[in-house]
Amino acid sequence: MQFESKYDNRTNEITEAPPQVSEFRRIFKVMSSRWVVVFGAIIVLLLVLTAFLAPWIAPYDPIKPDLSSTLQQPSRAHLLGTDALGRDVLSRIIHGAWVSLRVGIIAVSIAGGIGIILGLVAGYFGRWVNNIIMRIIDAMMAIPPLPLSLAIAALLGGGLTNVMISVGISLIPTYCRLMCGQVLTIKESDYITAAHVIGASDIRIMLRHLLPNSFPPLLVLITLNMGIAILAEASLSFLGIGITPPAAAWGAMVSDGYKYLFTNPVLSFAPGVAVMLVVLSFNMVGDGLRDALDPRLRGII
Amino acid sequence: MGTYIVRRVLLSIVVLLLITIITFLLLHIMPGDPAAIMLGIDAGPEQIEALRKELWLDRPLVVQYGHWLSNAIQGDLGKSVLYDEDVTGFITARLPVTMHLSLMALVLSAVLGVGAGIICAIRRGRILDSVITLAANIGVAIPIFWLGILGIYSLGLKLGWLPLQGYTSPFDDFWLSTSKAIMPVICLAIPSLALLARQTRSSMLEVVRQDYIRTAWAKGLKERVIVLKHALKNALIPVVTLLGIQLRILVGGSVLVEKVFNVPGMGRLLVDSVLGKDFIMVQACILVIALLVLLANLLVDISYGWLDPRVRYG
Repeated sequence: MQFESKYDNRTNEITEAPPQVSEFRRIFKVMSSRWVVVFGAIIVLLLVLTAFLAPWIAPYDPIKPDLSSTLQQPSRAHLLGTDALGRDVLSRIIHGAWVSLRVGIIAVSIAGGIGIILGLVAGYFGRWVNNIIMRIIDAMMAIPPLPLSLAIAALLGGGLTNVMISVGISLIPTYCRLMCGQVLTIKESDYITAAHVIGASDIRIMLRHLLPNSFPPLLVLITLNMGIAILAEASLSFLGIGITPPAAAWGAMVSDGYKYLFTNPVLSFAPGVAVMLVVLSFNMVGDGLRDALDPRLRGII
Repeated sequence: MGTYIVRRVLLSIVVLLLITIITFLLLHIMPGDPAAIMLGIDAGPEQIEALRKELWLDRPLVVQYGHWLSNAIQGDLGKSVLYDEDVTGFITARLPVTMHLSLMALVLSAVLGVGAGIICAIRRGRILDSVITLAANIGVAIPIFWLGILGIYSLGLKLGWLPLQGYTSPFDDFWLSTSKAIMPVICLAIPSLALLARQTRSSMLEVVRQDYIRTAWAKGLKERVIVLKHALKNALIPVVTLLGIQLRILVGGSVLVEKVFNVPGMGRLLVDSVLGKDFIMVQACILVIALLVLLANLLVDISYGWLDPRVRYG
């Protein structure tokens, strides 16, 4: 009896539908089929590990000056040389990973939190609410993100916290627009009408139905924005806003090394490579996620 | 078309008002007294009081905004705290420099970006496509201040082909100006070039799947005609929207590039004022930049409606 039912199940599976694969495994499969995405994922993982394990894996103290060994060329003792105060460049890059990652996560959380709520409200209530919110977003979009975050960070008084806030603010518009667009489409679905009919409250519909269903494109945007935020932080610290001097940030290291370009080019080249690799990796993972989550490609792969 | 333009212009005016409110409020997000912060710790109480009077900081916010806006409309954006001169003069001197470099970068990125995108779409899946796509992905991720330093090191210091830094007006000495502009313009262009290449590639691939392209193939047209005349025309529509965003990227990038190459433009002015706590100047720079971007977007929207009738009636 048991044998029979098993047999039935199998024939059903074969004749009717492809085998059920969990969503997570399908996404994983699509993403791991492209080598750049795998490469990006590995670098992102390395960044996270480096950021958390920095105190243990960095060969030297990133802050303490060592005036007996200033401006050394790369050697076995200092793989990437030392800077003007004799600090090991590799150790400073390793410690800079934590700064980059932290700014990325917090800035994206700020942008995502505010942007998603604004977009949700604008899309759900429509009419004048939508008009007011979207025109404010338009006005914000007219100010390029870098000048905007530069001005906000400086006016708030500089420092890393204010850089996180200002980068976060400059990233709000894209979340708001994406969320609003998503809500406008999903709002028309039958299950939203059904939720209205059974008397679900506005808040419930927004949080239980609209938000989860617009999550896939948001996840892509969040991943891509991690890269953008890290690049923005590097740019701001290159310009001299943000990190307070003894601490290490990649952008500030490029700027410091610029003075010794002729004799010690590694000083500003190495941290720049770190920025580029990390931003590229987040972009690649974001692209991979988009391919994997895009409903239009579903079934093909 | 007439009503479409009127609608866009009216919308832009509303957005313009909001921009002025945002830039006005920028000065008031400062923790503490703006006048005291701008003048620094050396300033005496009389000086601070004088600046407060001058900026109308002692009046209600709405009155301040009205005063500031009416001055701004007449071209008076206030006085620089650092130089004690009219801000407007600084901006009119610096703006042409940034526009010169940005426009050159815009043309460069549009021509090369669209071209690269077309090549990718035609050669989809081949090696050339992979190489260009990878290069475009790197181009979006590259920190341009770092790219500029790399350029100065290799092309300037090591090979000695190009001048290291600085800016000369093309009206003074055309060749010197061009050779000084090459590196900054390339650095400015790279991110938008990469974005344009990616966008052109994907919208070309979208268009070549359409029925009318198959019809064009079926009636025996040449590949060149199909690609350039039938496909590109429609593929360019989303690319044109991206042009509005380009100016945002270029002006944003000029902040970094002008710092690296020591170019006396708007970006440099903004950075110097930020570091010198000359926030009246910062406010004015942001306002002017936003105005330019808004104007460019308006032009893009109008040409968009002209290119694609669906937008006009939508």
